[in-house]
Amino acid sequence: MKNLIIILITACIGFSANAQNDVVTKLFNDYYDDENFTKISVSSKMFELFTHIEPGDEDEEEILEAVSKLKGLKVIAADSVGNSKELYTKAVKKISGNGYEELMEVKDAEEDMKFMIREKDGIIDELVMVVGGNKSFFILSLYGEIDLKKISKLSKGMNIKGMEHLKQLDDNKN
Amino acid sequence: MDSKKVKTRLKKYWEGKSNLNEENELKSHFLHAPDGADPDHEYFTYLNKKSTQNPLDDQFDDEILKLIDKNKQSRKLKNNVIKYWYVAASLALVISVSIIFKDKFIKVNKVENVVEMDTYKDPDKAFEETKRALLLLSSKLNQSSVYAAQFSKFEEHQNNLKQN
Repeated sequence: MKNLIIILITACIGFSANAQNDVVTKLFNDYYDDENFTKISVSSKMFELFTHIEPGDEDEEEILEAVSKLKGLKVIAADSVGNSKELYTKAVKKISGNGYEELMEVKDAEEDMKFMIREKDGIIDELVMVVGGNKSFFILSLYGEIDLKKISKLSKGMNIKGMEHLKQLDDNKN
Repeated sequence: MDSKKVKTRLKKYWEGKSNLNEENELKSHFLHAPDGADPDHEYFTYLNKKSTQNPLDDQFDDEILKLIDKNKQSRKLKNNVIKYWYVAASLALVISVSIIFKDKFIKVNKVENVVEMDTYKDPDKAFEETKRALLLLSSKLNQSSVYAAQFSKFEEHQNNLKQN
Protein backbone atom coordinates (compact mmCIF):
# COMPACT_ATOMS: atom_id res chain seq x y z
CA MET A 1 0.00 0.00 0.00
CA LYS A 2 2.80 2.39 0.98
CA ASN A 3 4.61 1.55 -2.26
CA LEU A 4 1.51 2.32 -4.24
CA ILE A 5 1.15 5.71 -2.56
CA ILE A 6 4.84 6.46 -3.21
CA ILE A 7 4.40 5.49 -6.88
CA LEU A 8 1.36 7.74 -7.17
CA ILE A 9 3.14 10.70 -5.55
CA THR A 10 6.18 10.17 -7.79
CA ALA A 11 3.92 9.97 -10.84
CA CYS A 12 2.22 13.24 -9.88
CA ILE A 13 5.59 14.97 -9.36
CA GLY A 14 6.73 13.56 -12.68
CA PHE A 15 3.69 14.92 -14.41
CA SER A 16 4.20 18.41 -12.98
CA ALA A 17 7.93 18.36 -13.85
CA ASN A 18 7.07 17.37 -17.40
CA ALA A 19 4.52 20.14 -17.55
CA GLN A 20 7.25 22.65 -16.80
CA ASN A 21 10.02 21.32 -19.03
CA ASP A 22 7.98 20.55 -22.07
CA VAL A 23 6.31 23.87 -22.63
CA VAL A 24 8.30 24.59 -25.80
CA THR A 25 7.94 20.99 -26.90
CA LYS A 26 4.20 21.32 -26.43
CA LEU A 27 4.17 24.33 -28.72
CA PHE A 28 5.96 22.25 -31.30
CA ASN A 29 3.34 19.60 -30.86
CA ASP A 30 0.56 22.15 -31.35
CA TYR A 31 1.81 22.85 -34.86
CA TYR A 32 2.97 19.32 -35.59
CA ASP A 33 0.03 18.41 -37.79
CA ASP A 34 -0.30 21.82 -39.44
CA GLU A 35 1.21 21.79 -42.89
CA ASN A 36 1.55 25.57 -42.97
CA PHE A 37 4.39 25.25 -40.49
CA THR A 38 7.84 23.88 -41.16
CA LYS A 39 9.12 21.76 -38.33
CA ILE A 40 12.77 20.95 -37.86
CA SER A 41 14.12 18.82 -35.09
CA VAL A 42 17.73 17.89 -34.58
CA SER A 43 18.30 15.51 -31.71
CA SER A 44 21.23 15.12 -29.36
CA LYS A 45 22.28 11.96 -31.22
CA MET A 46 22.57 13.94 -34.44
CA PHE A 47 24.54 16.64 -32.63
CA GLU A 48 26.95 13.92 -31.52
CA LEU A 49 27.41 12.94 -35.17
CA PHE A 50 28.41 16.53 -36.03
CA THR A 51 31.70 15.91 -34.25
CA HIS A 52 32.70 13.69 -37.19
CA ILE A 53 32.14 16.42 -39.78
CA GLU A 54 35.29 17.89 -41.25
CA PRO A 55 35.07 21.71 -41.37
CA GLY A 56 35.27 23.14 -44.88
CA ASP A 57 36.45 26.60 -43.86
CA GLU A 58 37.08 28.78 -40.81
CA ASP A 59 33.44 29.80 -40.50
CA GLU A 60 32.33 26.20 -40.45
CA GLU A 61 34.99 25.41 -37.87
CA GLU A 62 33.61 28.18 -35.71
CA ILE A 63 30.09 26.80 -36.10
CA LEU A 64 31.22 23.28 -35.26
CA GLU A 65 32.86 24.62 -32.13
CA ALA A 66 29.67 26.46 -31.19
CA VAL A 67 27.55 23.33 -31.62
CA SER A 68 29.97 21.05 -29.76
CA LYS A 69 28.20 21.58 -26.45
CA LEU A 70 24.68 21.75 -27.80
CA LYS A 71 22.24 18.91 -27.38
CA GLY A 72 19.34 19.73 -29.62
CA LEU A 73 17.55 22.17 -31.82
CA LYS A 74 13.92 22.65 -32.65
CA VAL A 75 12.54 25.06 -35.19
CA ILE A 76 9.03 25.83 -36.19
CA ALA A 77 8.49 28.35 -38.91
CA ALA A 78 5.79 29.76 -41.12
CA ASP A 79 6.10 32.60 -43.60
CA SER A 80 2.53 33.15 -44.68
CA VAL A 81 0.20 33.03 -41.72
CA GLY A 82 -2.47 35.65 -41.24
CA ASN A 83 -2.46 35.64 -37.45
CA SER A 84 1.30 35.75 -36.90
CA LYS A 85 1.15 38.45 -34.20
CA GLU A 86 -1.49 36.48 -32.35
CA LEU A 87 0.64 33.33 -32.59
CA TYR A 88 3.61 35.31 -31.31
CA THR A 89 1.70 36.65 -28.29
CA LYS A 90 0.29 33.22 -27.52
CA ALA A 91 3.69 31.52 -27.75
CA VAL A 92 5.43 34.15 -25.62
CA LYS A 93 2.71 33.94 -23.00
CA LYS A 94 2.95 30.16 -22.87
CA ILE A 95 6.75 30.07 -22.60
CA SER A 96 7.41 32.99 -20.26
CA GLY A 97 5.31 31.63 -17.42
CA ASN A 98 7.24 28.38 -17.19
CA GLY A 99 10.64 29.02 -15.68
CA TYR A 100 12.05 30.92 -18.66
CA GLU A 101 13.70 34.26 -18.10
CA GLU A 102 13.41 37.08 -20.60
CA LEU A 103 16.72 37.95 -22.18
CA MET A 104 15.72 40.55 -24.72
CA GLU A 105 12.66 41.85 -26.51
CA VAL A 106 12.61 44.00 -29.60
CA LYS A 107 9.51 45.39 -31.23
CA ASP A 108 9.63 47.35 -34.44
CA ALA A 109 7.39 48.03 -37.40
CA GLU A 110 8.42 44.82 -39.14
CA GLU A 111 8.47 42.27 -36.38
CA ASP A 112 8.41 41.46 -32.69
CA MET A 113 11.21 39.39 -31.28
CA LYS A 114 11.71 37.87 -27.89
CA PHE A 115 14.62 35.87 -26.51
CA MET A 116 14.08 33.75 -23.44
CA ILE A 117 16.57 31.62 -21.57
CA ARG A 118 16.50 28.95 -18.93
CA GLU A 119 19.47 28.73 -16.62
CA LYS A 120 20.74 25.93 -14.42
CA ASP A 121 23.71 26.42 -12.09
CA GLY A 122 24.69 29.61 -13.90
CA ILE A 123 24.74 27.90 -17.30
CA ILE A 124 22.17 28.67 -19.98
CA ASP A 125 20.68 25.30 -20.87
CA GLU A 126 17.97 26.52 -23.20
CA LEU A 127 17.54 29.53 -25.43
CA VAL A 128 14.23 30.22 -27.11
CA MET A 129 13.71 32.81 -29.77
CA VAL A 130 10.20 33.75 -30.83
CA VAL A 131 9.67 36.02 -33.82
CA GLY A 132 6.36 37.35 -35.08
CA GLY A 133 6.47 39.32 -38.34
CA ASN A 134 3.64 40.67 -40.45
CA LYS A 135 2.92 37.27 -41.89
CA SER A 136 5.74 35.23 -40.50
CA PHE A 137 6.07 33.33 -37.29
CA PHE A 138 9.16 31.61 -35.99
CA ILE A 139 10.19 29.71 -32.87
CA LEU A 140 13.67 28.42 -32.37
CA SER A 141 14.68 26.45 -29.31
CA LEU A 142 18.28 25.56 -28.71
CA TYR A 143 19.30 23.38 -25.80
CA GLY A 144 22.49 22.11 -24.27
CA GLU A 145 25.28 24.25 -22.86
CA ILE A 146 24.76 27.60 -24.58
CA ASP A 147 27.43 30.23 -24.95
CA LEU A 148 25.67 33.41 -26.09
CA LYS A 149 28.94 35.13 -26.98
CA LYS A 150 29.95 32.32 -29.32
CA ILE A 151 26.56 32.25 -30.96
CA SER A 152 26.33 36.00 -31.50
CA LYS A 153 29.87 35.97 -32.91
CA LEU A 154 28.87 33.51 -35.64
CA SER A 155 27.00 35.97 -37.85
CA LYS A 156 29.31 38.92 -37.35
CA GLY A 157 30.90 39.80 -40.64
CA MET A 158 28.31 37.80 -42.54
CA ASN A 159 25.60 39.51 -44.48
CA ILE A 160 22.58 37.85 -42.96
CA LYS A 161 19.43 39.73 -42.49
CA GLY A 162 17.53 36.99 -40.80
CA MET A 163 14.01 36.29 -41.77
CA GLU A 164 14.81 35.39 -45.35
CA HIS A 165 16.18 32.20 -43.85
CA LEU A 166 12.65 31.20 -43.07
CA LYS A 167 12.13 30.84 -46.77
CA GLN A 168 15.31 28.80 -47.07
CA LEU A 169 14.24 26.56 -44.23
CA ASP A 170 10.89 26.09 -45.89
CA ASP A 171 12.39 25.36 -49.29
CA ASN A 172 14.79 22.84 -47.85
CA LYS A 173 12.07 21.05 -45.96
CA ASN A 174 9.80 20.83 -48.97
CA MET B 1 -14.19 -27.19 67.32
CA ASP B 2 -16.33 -26.59 70.40
CA SER B 3 -19.64 -24.81 70.20
CA LYS B 4 -18.29 -21.61 71.82
CA LYS B 5 -15.53 -21.30 69.27
CA VAL B 6 -17.99 -22.01 66.48
CA LYS B 7 -20.26 -19.24 67.77
CA THR B 8 -17.37 -16.75 67.94
CA ARG B 9 -16.23 -17.67 64.39
CA LEU B 10 -19.79 -17.44 63.09
CA LYS B 11 -20.23 -14.01 64.67
CA LYS B 12 -16.98 -12.83 63.07
CA TYR B 13 -18.06 -14.43 59.77
CA TRP B 14 -21.40 -12.67 59.59
CA GLU B 15 -19.78 -9.40 60.63
CA GLY B 16 -17.43 -9.87 57.72
CA LYS B 17 -14.37 -9.85 59.97
CA SER B 18 -13.23 -13.49 59.56
CA ASN B 19 -10.19 -14.43 57.48
CA LEU B 20 -9.96 -17.14 54.86
CA ASN B 21 -8.50 -19.64 57.31
CA GLU B 22 -11.33 -19.15 59.80
CA GLU B 23 -13.90 -19.47 57.03
CA ASN B 24 -12.33 -22.76 55.92
CA GLU B 25 -12.42 -24.00 59.50
CA LEU B 26 -16.11 -23.15 59.65
CA LYS B 27 -16.79 -24.94 56.38
CA SER B 28 -14.85 -27.98 57.60
CA HIS B 29 -16.76 -27.94 60.89
CA PHE B 30 -20.16 -27.95 59.20
CA LEU B 31 -19.01 -30.70 56.84
CA HIS B 32 -18.74 -33.08 59.78
CA ALA B 33 -21.40 -31.56 62.08
CA PRO B 34 -24.74 -33.39 62.32
CA ASP B 35 -27.64 -31.98 60.31
CA GLY B 36 -29.87 -29.46 62.20
CA ALA B 37 -27.30 -28.76 64.92
CA ASP B 38 -27.01 -25.15 63.87
CA PRO B 39 -29.23 -22.78 61.87
CA ASP B 40 -26.25 -21.98 59.66
CA HIS B 41 -25.62 -25.64 58.95
CA GLU B 42 -27.63 -25.63 55.72
CA TYR B 43 -25.85 -22.59 54.43
CA PHE B 44 -22.36 -23.99 55.02
CA THR B 45 -23.39 -27.39 53.65
CA TYR B 46 -24.45 -25.56 50.48
CA LEU B 47 -21.09 -23.77 50.35
CA ASN B 48 -19.23 -27.07 50.79
CA LYS B 49 -21.31 -28.71 48.10
CA LYS B 50 -20.76 -25.81 45.71
CA SER B 51 -16.99 -25.77 46.18
CA THR B 52 -16.72 -29.44 45.23
CA GLN B 53 -18.70 -28.88 42.00
CA ASN B 54 -16.90 -27.86 38.80
CA PRO B 55 -19.17 -25.30 37.20
CA LEU B 56 -17.00 -24.96 34.05
CA ASP B 57 -16.92 -28.43 32.51
CA ASP B 58 -15.23 -29.55 29.28
CA GLN B 59 -18.24 -28.62 27.23
CA PHE B 60 -17.97 -25.04 28.44
CA ASP B 61 -14.29 -24.94 27.43
CA ASP B 62 -15.14 -26.29 23.99
CA GLU B 63 -17.81 -23.69 23.51
CA ILE B 64 -15.49 -20.87 24.56
CA LEU B 65 -12.71 -22.12 22.26
CA LYS B 66 -15.18 -22.37 19.40
CA LEU B 67 -16.30 -18.80 20.04
CA ILE B 68 -12.67 -17.59 20.10
CA ASP B 69 -11.98 -19.35 16.78
CA LYS B 70 -15.10 -17.88 15.25
CA ASN B 71 -14.08 -14.43 16.43
CA LYS B 72 -10.59 -14.86 14.97
CA GLN B 73 -12.02 -15.93 11.63
CA SER B 74 -14.43 -13.02 11.50
CA ARG B 75 -11.57 -10.60 12.31
CA LYS B 76 -9.47 -12.16 9.56
CA LEU B 77 -12.36 -11.78 7.16
CA LYS B 78 -12.86 -8.19 8.26
CA ASN B 79 -9.15 -7.45 7.72
CA ASN B 80 -9.32 -9.04 4.28
CA VAL B 81 -12.33 -6.95 3.39
CA ILE B 82 -10.50 -3.79 4.52
CA LYS B 83 -7.47 -4.81 2.41
CA TYR B 84 -9.68 -5.30 -0.63
CA TRP B 85 -11.21 -1.88 -0.02
CA TYR B 86 -7.73 -0.34 0.10
CA VAL B 87 -6.79 -2.03 -3.17
CA ALA B 88 -10.08 -0.97 -4.77
CA ALA B 89 -9.63 2.63 -3.57
CA SER B 90 -6.05 2.71 -4.87
CA LEU B 91 -7.15 1.34 -8.23
CA ALA B 92 -9.91 3.94 -8.38
CA LEU B 93 -7.32 6.63 -7.63
CA VAL B 94 -4.95 5.34 -10.32
CA ILE B 95 -7.78 5.22 -12.86
CA SER B 96 -8.93 8.75 -11.92
CA VAL B 97 -5.37 10.12 -12.19
CA SER B 98 -4.98 8.33 -15.54
CA ILE B 99 -8.21 9.84 -16.84
CA ILE B 100 -7.30 13.32 -15.62
CA PHE B 101 -3.81 13.21 -17.08
CA LYS B 102 -4.68 11.05 -20.10
CA ASP B 103 -4.63 13.88 -22.61
CA LYS B 104 -1.54 15.42 -21.16
CA PHE B 105 0.26 12.07 -21.02
CA ILE B 106 -0.59 11.10 -24.57
CA LYS B 107 0.39 14.54 -25.79
CA VAL B 108 3.71 14.46 -23.92
CA ASN B 109 4.51 11.02 -25.37
CA LYS B 110 3.66 12.23 -28.82
CA VAL B 111 5.82 15.31 -28.30
CA GLU B 112 8.73 13.25 -27.04
CA ASN B 113 8.54 11.12 -30.14
CA VAL B 114 8.45 14.19 -32.34
CA VAL B 115 11.39 15.73 -30.53
CA GLU B 116 13.41 12.56 -30.50
CA MET B 117 12.67 12.02 -34.16
CA ASP B 118 15.24 13.72 -36.36
CA THR B 119 13.92 15.63 -39.33
CA TYR B 120 17.01 14.72 -41.29
CA LYS B 121 18.65 11.32 -41.38
CA ASP B 122 21.76 12.61 -43.09
CA PRO B 123 24.13 14.33 -40.61
CA ASP B 124 25.43 16.67 -43.36
CA LYS B 125 21.93 17.91 -44.16
CA ALA B 126 21.10 18.20 -40.47
CA PHE B 127 24.30 20.17 -39.97
CA GLU B 128 23.42 22.51 -42.85
CA GLU B 129 20.03 23.22 -41.27
CA THR B 130 21.58 23.65 -37.83
CA LYS B 131 24.08 26.05 -39.34
CA ARG B 132 21.31 28.11 -40.96
CA ALA B 133 19.29 28.14 -37.76
CA LEU B 134 22.30 29.17 -35.69
CA LEU B 135 23.25 31.92 -38.11
CA LEU B 136 19.70 33.20 -38.07
CA LEU B 137 19.67 33.11 -34.29
CA SER B 138 23.02 34.82 -34.18
CA SER B 139 21.95 37.58 -36.56
CA LYS B 140 18.75 38.14 -34.59
CA LEU B 141 20.69 38.29 -31.35
CA ASN B 142 23.06 40.84 -32.83
CA GLN B 143 20.21 42.82 -34.37
CA SER B 144 18.50 42.96 -30.97
CA SER B 145 21.75 43.85 -29.23
CA VAL B 146 22.18 46.80 -31.60
CA TYR B 147 18.68 47.98 -30.69
CA ALA B 148 19.47 47.48 -27.01
CA ALA B 149 22.75 49.42 -27.37
CA GLN B 150 20.98 52.22 -29.23
CA PHE B 151 18.32 52.35 -26.57
CA SER B 152 20.82 52.53 -23.75
CA LYS B 153 22.66 55.32 -25.62
CA PHE B 154 19.36 57.15 -26.01
CA GLU B 155 18.67 56.66 -22.32
CA GLU B 156 22.13 57.88 -21.45
CA HIS B 157 21.63 61.06 -23.53
CA GLN B 158 18.23 61.58 -22.00
CA ASN B 159 19.73 61.34 -18.51
CA ASN B 160 22.47 63.79 -19.50
CA LEU B 161 19.87 66.25 -20.80
CA LYS B 162 17.89 65.93 -17.58
CA GLN B 163 21.01 66.58 -15.49
CA ASN B 164 21.87 69.69 -17.54
